Amino acid sequence: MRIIIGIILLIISVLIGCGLARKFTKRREFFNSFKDFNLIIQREISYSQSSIPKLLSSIENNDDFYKCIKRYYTNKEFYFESTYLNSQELNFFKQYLMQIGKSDKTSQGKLIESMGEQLSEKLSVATELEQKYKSLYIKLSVLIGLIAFIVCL
Amino acid sequence: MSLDFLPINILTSLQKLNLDKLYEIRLRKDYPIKVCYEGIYRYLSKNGVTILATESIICNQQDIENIINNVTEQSIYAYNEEIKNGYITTVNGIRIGLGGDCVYDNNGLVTLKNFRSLNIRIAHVIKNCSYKIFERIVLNNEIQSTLIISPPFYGKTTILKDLATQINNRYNYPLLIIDERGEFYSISGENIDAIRYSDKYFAFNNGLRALSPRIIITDELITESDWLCAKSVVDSGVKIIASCHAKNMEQLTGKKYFLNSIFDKYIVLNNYGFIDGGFTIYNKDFTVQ
Repeated sequence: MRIIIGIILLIISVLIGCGLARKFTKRREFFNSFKDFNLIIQREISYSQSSIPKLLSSIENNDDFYKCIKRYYTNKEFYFESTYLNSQELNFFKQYLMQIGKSDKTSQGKLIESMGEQLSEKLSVATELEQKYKSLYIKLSVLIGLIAFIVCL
Repeated sequence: MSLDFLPINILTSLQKLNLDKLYEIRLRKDYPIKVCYEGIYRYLSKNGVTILATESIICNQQDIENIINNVTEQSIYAYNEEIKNGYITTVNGIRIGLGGDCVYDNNGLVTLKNFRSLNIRIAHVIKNCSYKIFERIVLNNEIQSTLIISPPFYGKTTILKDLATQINNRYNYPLLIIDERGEFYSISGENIDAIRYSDKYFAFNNGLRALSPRIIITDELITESDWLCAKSVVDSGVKIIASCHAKNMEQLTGKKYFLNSIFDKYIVLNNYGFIDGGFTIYNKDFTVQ
């Protein structure tokens, strides 16, 4: 019986660790998609000049970032249920959506360039944090799980 | 006709009207919304139209911004060339005139911003409205180069659209529509080619070479370049049907860029909101036909 409880505790601990580690991956993936989209829209504005909804309809990616942005252009409201972005990052995302597409080509070009710099920074921070904490959380969760297992014995 | 780019309160009021009789919606920031309904300007109210300003719906800045965002699909950059010309056209051919502040840089006009007034022109397709005109511009089974003349809002574009359909149905040769503002969006046919959202210089020159039309239809000859393009088309043996803003022949011939060697017929529309009638036809030598 104790062995079974120990195994259950080990599994729960590892799952919690993986869940926490996943947040770092999701955050990095979010900024990765965000930066990609910024590059796509930069190219679109200077070349084919399609509208953003048309552009989005040609993108098949449906991760959290694209789900949110597609919903924004369909329902015209911002909704992003995030467990991995802080309020400052959420606000940055919201401001981006409110500004993108709302002015002429030249102004948009400048805006996108400046957003691109900020996004590169955010992506590198997110990547760094993922590398730093993802394996740490998993190792810690395994360790805590093992300790719980041993205590149970 | 889809007006779903309008804010819901305005759309709800308009749904109480017969949209076939609606020609124009005018929105000005902080002022009552006016509509041209059955040829008369009245205020838009919650229950339809009214003559009382006190019952009217007041337009606010948010309404104007929402309309611009909806029509441009929140992508103003994609419509900037149109905006620079003072209008945007919705996907179904409704033209929206823009009032706002012009922004210039060293290279000229960059864009318009701070939009404060909109003039929404409701495009209509009225079947056979050009029938009487069509009969008078055909000579020996050949369409004559024709200029349709009137002040704004007399139905020139509606007539041109119907003429395009008539020609497509009756003649078996290529017709090119040069549609600078996307207003001929609803017109298509087995003989019809269209160049849209292009300036006339490009469209005339490239359309003539690439699409080999027998007839060209275009709206509003305004600039010297427009008139010269029209002349070069006629000199190439192609017929042209166009329109021009003027009240009468005196005003037309007094225009700086007017060239009298282009058109065989001049049709002066006499009635505001035309469609059912009055026009005068002039021959090449400006005598009444």
